[in-house]
Amino acid sequence: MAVHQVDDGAERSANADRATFETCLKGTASAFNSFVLKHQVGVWNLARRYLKSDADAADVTQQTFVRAYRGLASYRGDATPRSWLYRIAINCSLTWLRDHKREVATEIDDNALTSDPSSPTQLLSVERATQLRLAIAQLPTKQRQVVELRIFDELSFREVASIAQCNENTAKVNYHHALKQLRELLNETSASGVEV
Amino acid sequence: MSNSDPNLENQLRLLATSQRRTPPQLHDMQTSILAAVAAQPAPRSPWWRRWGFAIPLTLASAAGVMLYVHQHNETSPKATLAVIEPVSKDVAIKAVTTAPSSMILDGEEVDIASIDVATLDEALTDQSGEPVTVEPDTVGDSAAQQHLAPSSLQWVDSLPAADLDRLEQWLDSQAAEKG
Repeated sequence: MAVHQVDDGAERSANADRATFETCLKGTASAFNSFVLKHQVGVWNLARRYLKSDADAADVTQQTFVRAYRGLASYRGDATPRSWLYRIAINCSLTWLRDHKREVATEIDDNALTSDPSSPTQLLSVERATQLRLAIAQLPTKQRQVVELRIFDELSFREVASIAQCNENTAKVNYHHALKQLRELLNETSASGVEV
Repeated sequence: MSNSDPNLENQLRLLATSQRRTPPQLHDMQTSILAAVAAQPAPRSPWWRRWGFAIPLTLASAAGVMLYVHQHNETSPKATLAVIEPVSKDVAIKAVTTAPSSMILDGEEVDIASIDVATLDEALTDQSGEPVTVEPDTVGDSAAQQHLAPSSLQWVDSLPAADLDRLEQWLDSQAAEKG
């Protein structure tokens, strides 16, 4: 029941976004502002996982919305507007990383998930949180992307599949294997008694 | 493909919740995004989407025209065509087979099948090898009429007496008219 409620809510949200797009394409450009306000935090958090710097993530977020606005006419409606936007955000982040490769290499040496966030973890020990971050960082790229999109961005498997450019079942299989591998990595960490 | 470790998923969600943050300068970021978006030219639908309404309209018009043409063809008078039917083989064969095997020449019946073609050709060729010139038609000559009269009017004898009486009356009336 809860899953259906979530799906209904996501569907309503997607339909509202599609209506916003239509309004924009009919000439009311200001309608896009509501889309920005609705998704800016989510896009920033996604970009932040790739870029590790708040300011860079903000730049990429802005770039993402500008690109989305320019490409509104190319939105075909196959994917949800949010997954379409997140795909753009990932592309912008990867482009940014490629363009600032040298800076990134000297500035940071790890994934955002592996770096300690400024906010304190709640109900999860710092040690366990670090173990999880390290384990996630060791996952293959595709599996890590699926886990991040599913858990950290709270996307449906359909949206995850759309962003990861695979079908829904492939996304589920990747997610399942990612959890399995995470479990094994965490067990190994516990068995070896590595102090983090 | 059910997940058998909800505990791990819960831990990941807790980690995600702990990492999810609000941008430190959200208002500034929002302002800059809106300004950057406003500086962009307004997006326009692609032409095929803008003219999407014309597609069903065109199809409907084409269907209407086709329907009109179809109906118009049905109601118009049909053109009359002169059909020349070929002579069938059967008819040709029949014509050959039904050709007369005999003919009347000079009041006598001549069997064509019994005529010897070689003899006929010989008769038609004179001594010098020149073909025999056909004499002009003698119909209308008195001598010919005399020859024709007895043989060609034999059928009169077969007429019933009543018909002969009426014929005589008609001939008398003709003679009386001529005075």
